Amino acid sequence: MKKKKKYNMLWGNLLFLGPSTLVFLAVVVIPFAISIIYSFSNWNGISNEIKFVGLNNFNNIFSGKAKFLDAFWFTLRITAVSVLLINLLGILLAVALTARLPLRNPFRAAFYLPQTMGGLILGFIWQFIFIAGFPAIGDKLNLGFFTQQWLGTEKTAFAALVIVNVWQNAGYVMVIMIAALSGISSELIESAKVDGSRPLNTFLRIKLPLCVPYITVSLFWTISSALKMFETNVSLTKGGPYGSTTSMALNIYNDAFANNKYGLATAEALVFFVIILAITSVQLYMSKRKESQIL
Amino acid sequence: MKRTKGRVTMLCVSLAGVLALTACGGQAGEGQNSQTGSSESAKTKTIYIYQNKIEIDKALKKTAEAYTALHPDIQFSIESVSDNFSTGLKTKLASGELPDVFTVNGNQVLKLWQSQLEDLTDQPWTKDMIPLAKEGITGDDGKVYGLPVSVEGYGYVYNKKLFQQAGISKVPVTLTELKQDVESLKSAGIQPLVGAYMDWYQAGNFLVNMGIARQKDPLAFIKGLYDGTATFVGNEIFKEVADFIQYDFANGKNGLSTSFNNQTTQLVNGEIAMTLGGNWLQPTIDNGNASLETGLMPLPVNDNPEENDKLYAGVSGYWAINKDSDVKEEVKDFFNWLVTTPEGQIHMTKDMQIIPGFSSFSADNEAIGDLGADLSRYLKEGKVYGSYNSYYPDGADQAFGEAVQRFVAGQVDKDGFLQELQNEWDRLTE
Repeated sequence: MKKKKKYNMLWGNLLFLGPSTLVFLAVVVIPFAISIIYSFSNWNGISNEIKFVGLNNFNNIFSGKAKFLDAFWFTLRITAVSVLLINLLGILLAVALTARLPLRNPFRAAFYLPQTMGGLILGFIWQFIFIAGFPAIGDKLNLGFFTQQWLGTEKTAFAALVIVNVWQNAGYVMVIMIAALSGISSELIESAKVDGSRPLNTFLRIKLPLCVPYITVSLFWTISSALKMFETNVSLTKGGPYGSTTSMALNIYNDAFANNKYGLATAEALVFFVIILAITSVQLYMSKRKESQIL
Repeated sequence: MKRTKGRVTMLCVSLAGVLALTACGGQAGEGQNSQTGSSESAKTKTIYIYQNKIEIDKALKKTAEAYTALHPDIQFSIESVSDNFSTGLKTKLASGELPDVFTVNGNQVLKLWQSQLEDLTDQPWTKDMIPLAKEGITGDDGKVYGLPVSVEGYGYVYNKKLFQQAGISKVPVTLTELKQDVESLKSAGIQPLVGAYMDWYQAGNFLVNMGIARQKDPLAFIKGLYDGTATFVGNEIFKEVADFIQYDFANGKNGLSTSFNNQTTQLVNGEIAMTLGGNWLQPTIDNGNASLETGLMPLPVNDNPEENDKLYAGVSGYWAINKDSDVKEEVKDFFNWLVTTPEGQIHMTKDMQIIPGFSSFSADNEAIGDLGADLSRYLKEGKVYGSYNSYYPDGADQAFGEAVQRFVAGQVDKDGFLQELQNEWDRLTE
C-alpha cells in the first residue's frame, strides 16, 4: 500500500515537474554547460575546427587585452549613476502621485508608458531627439546646452544614456513604490500626525522604513537590468564615440558576432554572469539584513 | 536513499524525454526537407538566397521570377538583409538552416566560410571575372568560391549645382585645389563638407582603406602587417591620409554626431557640397530627390595629380553556394544564366543597376546613374585604388573606426592615431 502511494507520487511529480524540468534543461542548463566548454576554446563561431586553448581567453580578459575590463568599468559607472537616479526619481514620483493631485491617474500612466516600449525603439527615438531635436530647440532659444553634440563626446554620450535609462525605468520603480506607499496603514500615519510628526518626518521615519522590502525589490531589479544594458546601448550610441560607451553585453555581442571570437565571447559571458551574480547577491544580502533590522 | 533513487529515476526519465524530443525534432525536419524536395509534382525545387544588398532586393526577385518562367521547376525564396547580415547568417548556420546561396565578402570572410562553400572554379564564367573581382574570392588553394555581385567604388559625392554656384568648374584633383574649392564654397555660404563620424563604419572602412590602398604594394603591406615586418607607425602615406581625415573633419559640421542617415539626408536635400560616399547612394538619391545632380570625385591627399585623380573600388560581395545544398547544381545553372546569357546580363545591369565584376559585359550607363557612370569611367581608365577591408583581421574595421573617432575628437594626435591602428591590428591578429 505504501509502495503504491510512492509510485503514484513519482508519476505526479513527473507530470507536474517533468515538462518544466525538460524545458529548463534544454534551454538553460545544457546551453550553459556547452558555453562553459566553448569558453576554453578559440572557436570562431563557424568553422568545424575547434582548438582548446585552456585559460587563454580568461587570461586575455583579465590582462585587459580583450577590452572587457573597459566595458566592465563603464557598465559599473553607468549602473551606479542610473540606479541611484532611477530609484530616487521613482520614489519622488510615487510620493507625488500618491498625494491628492488632480489628473493623478493620467500622470501615473504617462510616467509608466516608456517602460512598455522596447529599448531598441526608445534608443532610435532618442537618437533622433539628441541629434535633431535638441539642436533645433537650442537654435530657437539660443541655448548652448542643447546645441552641443550630445552623442559626439564621451561625457555627453554617457549622460545621454543615463537620461534615457532613467526616463525609461523610473516609471517601473514608481509603480512598485506606489504599491508600497498605499499599502501603509492609515492608522499609523494618523497616529503619527496626532503625535505631532511633520510630513517630512513621517515620510523619513515611518513611511520609508516600512517600504524597505519594496526598495529591495526595486534595487535588485534596477541593478540587474542596468548591468545587462544592451538594446538602448546598441540603438542610441552603438558604443560610441570611440567605444567609450560599450556595455559588457554589447562588448560580448561584438566579440561573438563582429570579431568572430566566439570562444572569447563565451568566456566573457561567463565572467559577466559571475559579476552579476556576485553584485546582486551582495545587494540582496545587505538589503535583507537591513529589512530584518527595521521590521 | 529511496528518495534519491526516485530523483535519479526522474532525472533519467527527463533526459530520455529530452533525447526523444530532439530525435522527434530531427525527424520532423527531415520529413519537411524531403517534402519540399518531392511534393508539387515531385519536381519543383526551391533555391533559398540570403544576401546583403538590400537595394537590389526587388530587382533580384523580378529576375528570379523571370528565371522561374523559363524553368518552371525552380522556385526562389529570397531574403535580403543589410544590418546584422553576418549575425543572421551565423544564426542560420547554428540552427542548421544554412541558405543555398549567401553573400560572402572576400578574403578573411572567405577563409571563415570556406569549409562550407562549393568550389566554383570549373564554372564557365570564372574566366571572365576581372582581376579585381577574382583575387578577392580565390582561396589559398587557388579555387574560386563565389560570383562577384557588383563593383562598388567611393570618393567624395559632390553636388554639381552647388559647385556651379561657388564658381567651381572642374573637380579638384590635388589637395591644394580641394582646399581652394572648400574656401570658395564657404564664401558662397555653402557647407562644403560633412562626414558621418558618429558611426565607425565609414571611418573604419573607407578612410583607413585610403592609407592601405595608396601603399606601393598594398597586398605586400598587409602581409607585412600580419607577419610584423610592416607597421602603420611613421608610415608617410598614412600620415598624409591622417592629415586629410583631420581636414575633412574640421571642415565638416558636427561630424561626431552625424550618422549615416543624417549625412545622406543632408546630401539629398542639397545642403552640402561634398561628402564621403559611393555609387551605392544612387538609388537613395533617385528616390529622395531625382533632380539632384551628383558626381563622384577623388579624395586628394597631396598635390600629385596622378596619384590623386583616382577613386577607390572593390567588389562588395560575392554570392557563394552552400556545398551541402540539395539544389547546388540548379544554382549553378541559374548563375550561368545570370552572367553568360544576354537576358540574364540585362537583368543584372538594367534591373539591379550594378556594375558587373566581369569583362564579358558592362554596366548600363543610364541605369547606374551619375555616380555609377563616373565610377565606370574611372574603372575603364584604370584610375582606381583597390578596397582592402576584406583582408583585415575580423573586427578591425570597427576598431579602426573607433581609432579615427578618437583622432578627430582630439583624444590622440597623429602619431598616437597611427600607433593605435597598429595596437588594434596586433590585438585582433593575436
